[in-house]
Amino acid sequence: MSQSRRIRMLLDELSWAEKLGQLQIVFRPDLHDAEQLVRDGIGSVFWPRSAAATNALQRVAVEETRLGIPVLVGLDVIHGHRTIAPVPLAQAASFDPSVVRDLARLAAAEARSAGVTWTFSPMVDVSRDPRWGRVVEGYGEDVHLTAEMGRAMVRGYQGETLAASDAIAATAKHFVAYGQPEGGRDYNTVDASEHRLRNVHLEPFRAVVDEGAASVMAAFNTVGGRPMHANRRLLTDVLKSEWGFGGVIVGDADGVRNLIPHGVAGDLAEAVRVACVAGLDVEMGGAPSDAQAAELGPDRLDPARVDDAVARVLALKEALGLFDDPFVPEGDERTEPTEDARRLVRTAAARSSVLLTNDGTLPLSNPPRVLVTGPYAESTDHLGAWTQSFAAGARSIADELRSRMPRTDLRVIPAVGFLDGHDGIPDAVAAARDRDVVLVFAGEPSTLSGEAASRSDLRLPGRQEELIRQVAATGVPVVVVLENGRPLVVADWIDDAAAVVEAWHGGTEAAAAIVDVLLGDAEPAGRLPMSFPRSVGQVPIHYAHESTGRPATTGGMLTEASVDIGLHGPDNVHEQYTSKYLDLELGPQFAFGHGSGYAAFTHGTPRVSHGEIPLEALERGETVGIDVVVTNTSDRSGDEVVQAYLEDVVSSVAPPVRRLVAFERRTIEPEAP
Amino acid sequence: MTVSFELGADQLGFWATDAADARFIVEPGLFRLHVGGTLERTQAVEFRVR
Repeated sequence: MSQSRRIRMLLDELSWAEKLGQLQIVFRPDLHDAEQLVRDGIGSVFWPRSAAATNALQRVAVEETRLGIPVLVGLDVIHGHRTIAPVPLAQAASFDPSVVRDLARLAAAEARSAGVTWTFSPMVDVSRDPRWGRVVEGYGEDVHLTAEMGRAMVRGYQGETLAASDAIAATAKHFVAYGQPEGGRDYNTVDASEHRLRNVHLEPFRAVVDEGAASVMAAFNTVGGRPMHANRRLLTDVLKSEWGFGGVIVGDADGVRNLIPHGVAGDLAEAVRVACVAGLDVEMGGAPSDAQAAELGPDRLDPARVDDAVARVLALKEALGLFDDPFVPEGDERTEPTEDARRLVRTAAARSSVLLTNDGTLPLSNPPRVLVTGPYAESTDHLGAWTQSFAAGARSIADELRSRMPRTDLRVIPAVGFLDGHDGIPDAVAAARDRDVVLVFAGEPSTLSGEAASRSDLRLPGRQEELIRQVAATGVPVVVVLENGRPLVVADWIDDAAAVVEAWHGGTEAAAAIVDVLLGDAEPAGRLPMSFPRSVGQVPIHYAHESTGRPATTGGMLTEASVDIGLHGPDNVHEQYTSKYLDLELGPQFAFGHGSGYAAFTHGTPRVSHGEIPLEALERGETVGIDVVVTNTSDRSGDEVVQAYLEDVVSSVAPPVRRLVAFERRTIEPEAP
Repeated sequence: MTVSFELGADQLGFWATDAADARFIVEPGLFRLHVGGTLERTQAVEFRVR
């Protein structure tokens, strides 16, 4: 890596202890404690909750430390800073990278105005197990979609230059394979072949590193027995050497300390040493400061490795322009959403909504009498996982409906809580009987997804399914709107509903966006970024699974009748011995890419530019073109998400049955009559 | 409206991990592209890399 003159001079000047200080980020909620931390030489801090407090910390760094090196100010800006956008999984459902880029740009502008310079986002872990709570923080099960959305988010955060007043450094996380924990249980073991790592888990990271992501975060999990915070082969050999990543590898919170319970380090100093050797640059949590200094001397840590790590940190500070001006104008701090910001996240929330089923009940056509029920009816818990107390709150859907449907007779009876609560189901059923439509707002509260929020049961929690089935049994059409942070198992009630919208956790403007969708002012034309399983036992059920030698063509059947190959002959029992579950229909409830909208489309026969192309031409950069004519056959403007899946018919390895290689969301006007 | 995609080596290839160093390769042969508004409603076109 080429180093600036400033960085070379600082490397010469810095003492050993000062260097180790640059290689840590530590959280201290109290500002005076944080100031002392900076005075003692810490290189990075967490955001102290205001521009003024951030400037105070930078002032200590610049004026009260020997070399006056400013600090990096980190914060988990995951889907918005003050104005909260839909959760990343929802953003993926938009199938619109420009939405993801614009939301990240907004988050960066708000955060940087407050002095934040470094976010720990995007998460580009390919996530194929909906039990894992952190599926909400990423872009779902598909490699290509995750890579494209990750790129878009990096572009949005970092802009043209990190020194800009509306840019922050992005962190691609969690390197690597964190999305495949055994049993879907957070922090659990990962074992992945080189084939799986290269073709699935590493690919989105390769893409965002190519896009210029400033930093990469190591994952909590092991890969092949080696915790990622101590995994030299992947951190150094692949990420830094093979891919030429010149940015900062940061640890996850206490990920270095966790090497002790992982069983690969005997004490804190050893944990720090193995992480440093592996290629970790910045430790998160303060383990180096807490270890015995004598155990982390230049005789125990490779000085060249330490210098390399320090140079990476200083280069990031330099790229952010912090050596020129570490302060932000306090009067310009953006503490409230602007009208433009609200409009952006509201549009994004509607674009992220997926119409799972619809018999024509949606959009609503001015029903005079409506029952509004379910735990989300009056809740304001729309922000989703990984938002903090300073985020701009959301309104309730019931309030939004009252203001948007003033002439409608609205009855609001939540009937049940998310997890349990009072039994209002009989009241809701009684109220449903004279209604034209019932709107059920159901889902998971935000706390049920995110970090350390794995579930073993993927159904709606509490008594929500019972509520849906019982109001549906009245015969009045039931529209279910789901807000959740993962794919759910909906098999026990989905057929009872007239229409189902997956709205995810939509952020600050979720309620307005949901009503936009219900009334047809916006179209729920998103697509699922993760398959919805029929039952939890069907997981993993991602579409791009490897071709098996015995693909099934029908679902299974539970039977006591046995099959005798001698009597029936192998050909006649062929379907018996195919890859399926005896007690499930074939395939997921809803596959990746599923969804529709309020318009209707026909696709012409796709045309290919070349029937044949020489390998050498591809290697020179030539491409095969595919054209398809899409026609809007409805009477309203609408969005279609055109998806192209590749089948590699014969390969040297068992290929995925299909894999997404291109997609495009387009607004298409109706064909002139 | 016509929607167009361009597929090159990046889309057609994969990582081969049979050797010590993983390699990104495109293998000659038949490819089938399934295009549609959802995975369940696609139409296929074929082309061959030789």
